[in-house]
Amino acid sequence: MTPSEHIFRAFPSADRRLEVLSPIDNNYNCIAWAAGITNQFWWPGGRLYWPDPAETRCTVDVFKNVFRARFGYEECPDASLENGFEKVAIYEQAGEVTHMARQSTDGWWLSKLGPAWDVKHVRPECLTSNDYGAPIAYMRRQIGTPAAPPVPTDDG
Amino acid sequence: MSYSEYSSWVATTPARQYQDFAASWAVEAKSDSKPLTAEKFPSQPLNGWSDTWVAIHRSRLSTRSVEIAARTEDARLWVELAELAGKWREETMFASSLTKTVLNESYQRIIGHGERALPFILNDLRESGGLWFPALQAITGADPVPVNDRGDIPAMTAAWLTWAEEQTLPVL
Repeated sequence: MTPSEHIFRAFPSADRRLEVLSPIDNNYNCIAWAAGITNQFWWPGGRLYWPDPAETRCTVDVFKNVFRARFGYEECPDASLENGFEKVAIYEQAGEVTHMARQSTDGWWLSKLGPAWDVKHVRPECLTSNDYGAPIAYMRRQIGTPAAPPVPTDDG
Repeated sequence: MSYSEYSSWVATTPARQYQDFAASWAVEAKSDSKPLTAEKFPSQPLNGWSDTWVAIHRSRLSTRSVEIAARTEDARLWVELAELAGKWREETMFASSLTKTVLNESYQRIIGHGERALPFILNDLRESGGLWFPALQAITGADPVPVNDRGDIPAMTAAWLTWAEEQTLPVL
């Protein structure tokens, strides 16, 4: 089965223009990718990397707080392309975050599908599925906003 | 076996039977005093479609996995764990959520085998990678990953494999 066949089977809402951008890479996930990181797996709970190491909840508010405090994002109402801004979308299912995507400058959306491929899709809703639930929150920041330094850990 | 016979067999035989065949074969290969040869572990049909090759292929296990199974104390358990790991990977192929990855039924069944599953998990971690860290932590109670390496998958993998070496746990 090709990557596209795997993807269209798991994401039946995906527009056929979806593009696979990379080989499988298990070293980062969608949350890190949304933050522009490609060498870490991000998830709250203390086993993987999370900017606030004490956080264990996986709610939308927890993810919003990190993207607000660490990367300068603010909440916005929708996924439309706004000149001078970049956006992220947060997906939720059963009260827990399942996925994040970030908007490209051409208005398309970039996603890392778990430990699998990077893809480019037309709208956040393309990935609405049993795996990811649906996009329920959007945030934006001005292009070029610097990231805040990481929170120090006990190890230094 | 001809290709048409092979196709017919694949179409009519349940996958479970192939898995049983692969497990039985691994047990027999282990007790065989003859050295392991390429013919015993063909990665592709050598002289036609051998029953062994078809069984391994159909059971979704790699020939490497079955080869290792033949060297372990409990080949049948190894084949079962390999099958569960394959199912886990398939079902969590797109999961970024660690919660979903770890709560997957196949992953939980692997943890349920406890310390008997450790050689398989450590070997799979070394060979294929993957988020085995919560399973290792749950089974062993250890946490050898430095806080600053959390999320760095190659560093986490290295920390666990080094820890296993220090504990003299078998990584085949």
